Amino acid sequence: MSKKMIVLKSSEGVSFVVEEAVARQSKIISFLVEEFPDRELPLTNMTSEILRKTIEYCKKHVVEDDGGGDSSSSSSGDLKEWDVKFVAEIDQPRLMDLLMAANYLDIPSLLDVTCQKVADTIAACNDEKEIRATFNIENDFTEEEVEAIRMENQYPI
Amino acid sequence: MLIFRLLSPRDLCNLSSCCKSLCDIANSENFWLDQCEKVKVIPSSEIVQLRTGVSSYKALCRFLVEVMKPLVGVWVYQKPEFGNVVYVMPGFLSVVGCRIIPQEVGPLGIQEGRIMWSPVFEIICGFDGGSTKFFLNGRDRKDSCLFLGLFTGIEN
Repeated sequence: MSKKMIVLKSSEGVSFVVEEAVARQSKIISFLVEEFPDRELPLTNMTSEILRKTIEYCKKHVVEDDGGGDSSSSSSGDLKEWDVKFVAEIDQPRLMDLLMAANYLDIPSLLDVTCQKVADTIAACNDEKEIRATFNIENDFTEEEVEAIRMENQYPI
Repeated sequence: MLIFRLLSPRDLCNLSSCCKSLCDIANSENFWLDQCEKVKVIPSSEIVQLRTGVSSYKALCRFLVEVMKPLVGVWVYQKPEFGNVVYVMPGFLSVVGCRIIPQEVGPLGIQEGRIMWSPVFEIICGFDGGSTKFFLNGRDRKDSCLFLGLFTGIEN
């Protein structure tokens, strides 16, 4: 029996044909599939690049029913390793876009892994200057405010 | 918001120093309540009670991280049977150290009755979580004395 396919359309109008089981990793898409069967689903706030990465993640994480009961396409340990590599290969701006996409499409496991990567990046920074440089944040404090915050934030760890 | 919950106190402080909007978010009471719970030195229900005596959960977290966490426990020096055992426990916004006095115990051990102890020190948290006050118990000639001092945080 052929698998049912879903068409997702990016903000640039590029169509992606994916298996329903893959698309249903997203709770939002799962809901839309129920409500609007056989319709192309427009994702107007997602670029083709981010949608492609999201689909790549969902394909890897899909749980396939091969007739003999549920079996994950990869073992749990392998998946974790794959997740780490997956987010490590994405640069900072795209990682933030992917995080937003995971949040918008409601894919909890992708949201967890992208949030963890951002948290790890922040933790790897030695001070606020490094964080500003990494995430392109503009410093809008006055000198006096910086000094006051520094005094308040004297933490030993 | 999920990201903030994955950060350490140091990371949250660094983040709050980046810009005004991040400062507002990173100083949120909810995140610092989370941080206090993550220290795992006192139960969550007690953390809420302790909040009444400090300016913020951030201040409380500072005391938990700098003072309470590193000190609480049983400290033994060389020969414990000679009385070199100090039991340090959480008080109300304080840390209390007691010396266990060497004593004979029956077959049921310490379950048989109260154990004898004497106070050694107490460190009391300031309203801002820092500026802690240190009280050392001691003896001056015949009388018991209380010596005052200040205690700065312990670096890991």
